[in-house]
Amino acid sequence: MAAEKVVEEKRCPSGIEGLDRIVGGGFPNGGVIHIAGSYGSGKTSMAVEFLVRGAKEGQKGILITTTLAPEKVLDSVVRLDIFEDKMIKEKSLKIIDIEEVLEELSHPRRPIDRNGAMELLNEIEEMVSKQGIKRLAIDPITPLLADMEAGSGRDFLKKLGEAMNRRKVTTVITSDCDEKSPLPEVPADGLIRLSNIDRHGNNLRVLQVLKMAGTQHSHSRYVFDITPCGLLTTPLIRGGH
Amino acid sequence: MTKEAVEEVISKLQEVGPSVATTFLIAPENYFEVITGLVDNFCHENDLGCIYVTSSVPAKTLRNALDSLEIERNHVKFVDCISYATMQNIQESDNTVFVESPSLLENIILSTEYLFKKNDGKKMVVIIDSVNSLSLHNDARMLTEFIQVLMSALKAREAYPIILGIGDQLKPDVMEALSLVCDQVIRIGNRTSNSS
Repeated sequence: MAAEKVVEEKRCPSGIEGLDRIVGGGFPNGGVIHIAGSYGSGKTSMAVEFLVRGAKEGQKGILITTTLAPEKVLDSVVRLDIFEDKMIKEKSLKIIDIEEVLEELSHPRRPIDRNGAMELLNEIEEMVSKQGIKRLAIDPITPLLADMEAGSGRDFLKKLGEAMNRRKVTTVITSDCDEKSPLPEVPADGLIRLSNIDRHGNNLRVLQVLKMAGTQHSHSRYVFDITPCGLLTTPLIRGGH
Repeated sequence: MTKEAVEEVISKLQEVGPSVATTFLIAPENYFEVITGLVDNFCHENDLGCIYVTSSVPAKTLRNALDSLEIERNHVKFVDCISYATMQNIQESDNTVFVESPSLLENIILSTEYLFKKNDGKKMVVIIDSVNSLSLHNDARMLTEFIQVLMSALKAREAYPIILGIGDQLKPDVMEALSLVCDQVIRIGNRTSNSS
């Protein structure tokens, strides 16, 4: 029983059934999970479902959006059956624009230097701590990193990971990258790649867990679909290839 | 013969119960009656829901056909894999999920799973119509793996997994695949059957 509890505390079930099965029960609790994929590959949907599932279980969550206006985020994804408007009203799920956070900096100018990046980190940490946040998502990180001076982005992400780990806040960071580009360097405990494959001119959406610290996870590719019941997965059919 | 064919199909299913992957190879003249027998008689007699995966005829056509026969079909949900591929008008509805092509086998599995999740826990019959049309769009190895994954998932859910086909028109490698991954392959109207 005690051993089971230790295992439970080490993992944070994302609540996304098809994903938790693949990653051995959930994300590392307090870890950073990097979800990389091209535009329209399902990153925002996955981040939103992670937060909505958490809110349903009483874990407060924040999504920091860097591209979409906050009021457009929920409209841009498939509406989950378990989503309730009261999650927003009661602030168990909050969506904010990165600009709101940047405005709080003493020098909110771009490019963001190392001091600015550390100030931004403090703002996020304070917000998380004051509001009792257990799940955080930044979607996508790419424009924010592009606004930072060379080297500051990596430092920011490293310190963010350390800070969230101290507070046991499980964090999802998404990044834009097309199929042929190398993955953006994000220090993370988990890495999930979303991509598209062509079959006879039709597109299949595929996810692959490349890394998930502390678990014997599947490395295979899975076809997924985003439905009102959440993200569903099934093994990619290879036909013996 | 048609009435006997329907009775034979239903009796075979009653005999084995759920979680047995069964392929029925039917003569073309009995095909539609067997479908209506499954959707109407078998489902209503056993209080079952139905997921109907169609890769040959658009769901709309099937719905119209059932309506014209005054068959109650509120318990039937469709996975329509052919309307997109044949440029039909797509009408979104709660009881139909569209898959863009019969070659997107994984999406057929996911759509079936989705309909199971939307279902209120009722036991289900899942009809795959047909293995002939799926074999036109997929090679036998892909089809074998698809059937194996889908049948395993359906058996775990204690559904009645049923594959329909016209036996005389099937390629030998597809017949071999069916024998390999289904628990029983039954020719309706013919005494020969393969069971494993």
